[in-house]
Amino acid sequence: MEECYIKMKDANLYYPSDLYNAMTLKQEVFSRLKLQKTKERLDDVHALKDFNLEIHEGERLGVIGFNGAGKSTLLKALAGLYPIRTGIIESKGKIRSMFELTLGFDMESTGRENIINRGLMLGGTPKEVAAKEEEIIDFAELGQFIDYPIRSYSSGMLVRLAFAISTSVTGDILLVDEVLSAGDINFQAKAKKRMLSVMDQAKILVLVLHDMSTIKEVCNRTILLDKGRIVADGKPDEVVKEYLSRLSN
Amino acid sequence: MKQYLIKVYETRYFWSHLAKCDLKSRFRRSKLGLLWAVLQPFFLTIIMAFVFSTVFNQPLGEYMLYILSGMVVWDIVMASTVAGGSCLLCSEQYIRQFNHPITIYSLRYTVLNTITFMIEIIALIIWVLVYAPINLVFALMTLPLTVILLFFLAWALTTLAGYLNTKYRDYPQIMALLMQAIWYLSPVFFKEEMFMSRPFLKKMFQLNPLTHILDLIRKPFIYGEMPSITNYLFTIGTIAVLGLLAYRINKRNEKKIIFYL
Repeated sequence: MEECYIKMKDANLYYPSDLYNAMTLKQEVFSRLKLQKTKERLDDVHALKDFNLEIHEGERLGVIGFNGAGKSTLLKALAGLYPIRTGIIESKGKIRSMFELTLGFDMESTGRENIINRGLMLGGTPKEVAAKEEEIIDFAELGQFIDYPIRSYSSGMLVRLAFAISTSVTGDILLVDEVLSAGDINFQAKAKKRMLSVMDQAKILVLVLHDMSTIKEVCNRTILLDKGRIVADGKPDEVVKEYLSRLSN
Repeated sequence: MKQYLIKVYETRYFWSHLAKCDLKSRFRRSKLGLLWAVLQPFFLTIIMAFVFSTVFNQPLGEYMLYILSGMVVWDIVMASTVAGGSCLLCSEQYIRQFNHPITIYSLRYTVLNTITFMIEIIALIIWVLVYAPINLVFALMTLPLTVILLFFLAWALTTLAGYLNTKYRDYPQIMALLMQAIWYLSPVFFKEEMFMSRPFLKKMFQLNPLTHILDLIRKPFIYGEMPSITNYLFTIGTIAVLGLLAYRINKRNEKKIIFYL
């Protein structure tokens, strides 16, 4: 059986500046006709620089670094959401990403409808989703509220539901961005347990987290990012130490 | 291309579910629900036909069918070009989470609009039953192909609109104006005779794809005859050009679009 892997070779990722230089159709036409001066353009943002990374089956990779180092960008590139301009990203295995859990909820629909909605979104068939429905409701501790529109939910209820749905589907390669905490203290313990079991099932885990103790607990390899480059790669203990020493400088 | 279509197929549960939700929410808060989609054009036609027949002295029955058929086709064109522009912006939450093919989000709107079109056609069928039931033979014979053609036309238009609107946020305003101009140049409500006064207008009328697309519905439903080969060729040609354009724009921008949302 072939193994799962992720390979990045000399990958460069830019956020195109068009985003900030947004033009309207009117501006575009007028500037082409030279009736209007073109706005001064901002440069593209170089978010990942000549990035080389190989992740093999069985690895639990923690990604740490300061804000803006490129951690989330890296995950989104691995998930195939952000295109790289040059270089290669290859992967084998079904990729599942957990980024912003509550994204994509329809506030007007009931909790139950949203379970089906999200389940299908995550690539399940109607049958598979229906099979998981009760378990999700149960885990999210929503009881009869599941048939209320989620507009009426408290933020805690919403997060619990989102967490329960998202963790009900696994993949070979799991990409997780800061989603370990959900709900009150009781739920958090339960959530962590479930999250760890989901992570356990994955063949490859890439975890972005600011909580160093969990990184040390879960991961068997850690990389430290700084300004779009890997500056340290190795055992979690050593890399976390490196990170903390940079932090104090 | 084949790989791409397979991906679209693999996500079928997802986009068809979204389309179903759209359909539901469009009629969620009204008791009559889907029936409204039939009744609305049905009654609107009565009002319009009354006004037009008094002002322009058109014989009422046939002209009513003319307006209704024009309106039904124009609705799907407008829904695709103007309203359809928001299809990618509204799907931002999904685009940010999954790397599904982007065209499934324009497909979702197209499915919704095609279904709405078919519901509105029911109103037309009812009026045809009243005025010229014999026409239904040709009408129902040609309808399936016409719906399929309109579906692809709408998909191409919605995809193009989606990309343009995401990049240029003033797209809906400009497009609405442009479509208004096209409306005046097309036999949506105006009859053929009105275009024959000047050679230029006549030429425009004959070369306008909308003339031919409208004929696909009008000839069988109103006049009880088959659409001509020219009608089909023009329609298919239009779809081919728009489809190719949509394909290229999609190919070039599909990966980048996430940065513009």
